[in-house]
Amino acid sequence: MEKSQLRFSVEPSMTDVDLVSARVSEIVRKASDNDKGFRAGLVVIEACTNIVKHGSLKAGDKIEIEVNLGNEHGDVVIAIIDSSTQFSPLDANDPNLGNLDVMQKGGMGIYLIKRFSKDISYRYVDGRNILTVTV
Amino acid sequence: MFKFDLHNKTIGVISLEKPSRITGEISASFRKWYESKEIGKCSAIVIDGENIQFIDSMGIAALISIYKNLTPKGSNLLLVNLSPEIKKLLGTLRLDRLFNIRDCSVEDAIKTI
Repeated sequence: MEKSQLRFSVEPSMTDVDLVSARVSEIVRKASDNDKGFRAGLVVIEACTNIVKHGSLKAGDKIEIEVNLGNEHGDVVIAIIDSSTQFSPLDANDPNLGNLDVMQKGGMGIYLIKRFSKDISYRYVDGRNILTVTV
Repeated sequence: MFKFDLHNKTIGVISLEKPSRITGEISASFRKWYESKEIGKCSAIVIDGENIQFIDSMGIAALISIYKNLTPKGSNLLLVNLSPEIKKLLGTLRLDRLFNIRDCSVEDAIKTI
């Protein structure tokens, strides 16, 4: 992977989220290995799916999502930026892994982002959520 | 995209016809598809993971749904040929304690049921 950042604009649809996740996964896999490629794709799909499914806006507005992919000291750094209302995934409670019904309803995605990342941070700047994940 | 074969009249084998990602809308299609297969009548379901390139939380929710459909009837869910990354994902969610995950071929898995 080149040192410069790659930027992806993501349409707020499950289809586009999957396409970008697959693209990110493939780029990271080729630059690193299968494990890191899988982690990167997982972070992108879970974070963006959460925005598409739960992100809210004023009526008529369209959510804008951007994924930036870069590297820092050999680590892959992914920034997911979106224009929906302020929401920190880091505040979400971990799912009860002993309760399948609860797991099916949701919460696994954010938990997986946390568990499959080396570092994770969240900021809300100029009306945009910025989730930065190192894998 | 998905394929269902019945072995020994009671063992169902689910596989993917080509390498695919089980995510988002595909997961929803997968759920609708297997609900039409009456998998609850099987004594066991073997999922061949050879062509599962990637799976997300929605795909995992679909696997949980199959598991919940089978276990009340005392049936088994076996997953074989999974990539190391997918096995790690299932382990992170502690689903390796519920699903029967094996490093063997579909044929070998069927022999042990």
